[in-house]
Amino acid sequence: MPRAWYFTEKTKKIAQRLAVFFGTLAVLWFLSTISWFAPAIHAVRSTVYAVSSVTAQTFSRIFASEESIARQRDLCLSQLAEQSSRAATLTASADEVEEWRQLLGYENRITREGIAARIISRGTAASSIVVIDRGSHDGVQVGAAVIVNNGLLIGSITKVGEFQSTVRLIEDRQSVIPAAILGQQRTIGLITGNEGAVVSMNYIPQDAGIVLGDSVVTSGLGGKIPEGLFLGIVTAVTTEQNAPFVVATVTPVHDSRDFTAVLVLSYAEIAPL
Amino acid sequence: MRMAFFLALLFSGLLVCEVSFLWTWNNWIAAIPLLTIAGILVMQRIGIVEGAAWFFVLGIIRLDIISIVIAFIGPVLLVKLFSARSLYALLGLGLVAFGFGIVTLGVTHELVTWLKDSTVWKMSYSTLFVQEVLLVPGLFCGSNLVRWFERTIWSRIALKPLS
Repeated sequence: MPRAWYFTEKTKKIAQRLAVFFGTLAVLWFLSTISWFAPAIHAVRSTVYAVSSVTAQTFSRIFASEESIARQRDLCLSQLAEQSSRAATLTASADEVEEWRQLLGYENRITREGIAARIISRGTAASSIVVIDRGSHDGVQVGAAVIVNNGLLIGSITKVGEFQSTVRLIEDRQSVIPAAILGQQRTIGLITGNEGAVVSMNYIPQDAGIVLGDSVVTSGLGGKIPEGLFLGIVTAVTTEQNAPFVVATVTPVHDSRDFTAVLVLSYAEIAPL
Repeated sequence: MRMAFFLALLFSGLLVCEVSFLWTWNNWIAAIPLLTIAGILVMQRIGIVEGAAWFFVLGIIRLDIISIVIAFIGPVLLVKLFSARSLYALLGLGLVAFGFGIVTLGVTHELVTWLKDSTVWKMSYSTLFVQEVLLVPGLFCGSNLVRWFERTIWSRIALKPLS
């Protein structure tokens, strides 16, 4: 009786060879999954990869044409420009996020409603006004305080459009802000702008006892600008004989040009007496 | 038995070399089909069964239609067309089998409609033709290497062809 084809010696040998081939590969694959053997395989592969990388780089350096090098340099320069642009954008975004975060933190501590706005235009140096992207449609009121950072007053609303408003900065000559010096005693006066880095506080009584370095905050008189918004510190006091008042020079601790995000503090309308 | 074990180790070593060494080069060197060249050499110089198993495993690992096609069409070509153990037969076997794989892959992609306009497919198509061309010098060098290997080291370590 003839034997079936799968029982012949040749078939058995082929089956044995295939079994060894597939079995060895299976064992190698299984070993690569075992935690103590996998690092060895990884080491071999990473060594081969390292050798290949070094060789490839060396060859590309040796055989790269001038045109190729110029092309690579142009590519690097364009990538550098792109990365620089992206870094600048990210830095600007980070600054803006920090501004919003501080404004949000301040808004959470106050009772008044705040309207977040963005500065969309700045006036000339002589006018010291800025335009924000919120108007009457958003509830902005004339005379409302405009703050930045953690409660620093930079100005007040002077004109309200439907979707944008004009802010007069405290350094503007026409700006008048009721303020108070927090010294040995609370001294009130009016902050007016000088179109420079410093502002003046007028109508301070002669006997006020101001000390350089005293803090100046809003007094809250008038009702539109809340009390306690920081304005700056006293850096000089000018006294004139026979004058009923002294003038204090106040240096703001901020520069309004550094900010793009502001908070407009609404106020309750008071009926006239 | 010993040869099958050696081939399994060779397969693993060449796989590491191809993936970790050749593929890190960003030019035509990365397109060298090292495992395909070695598989065709194995099929002609060592054994049809070993060669078919080689391509079958390669196709399974890479999910590569061409290798699977070579695993089936290679033995037929070797027995019916390129039975001589010459360099020309080796080149013929490699080019025809690989070409047949490319055609099969193309027909498959034509039948699978969503792959027709695939950018990846167009890219791999050009790479496959580069690989077809690279088979010629690869098989030529590989053939000489195997012949030298057979004359010198092969017999010393008692790795004799079984088929």
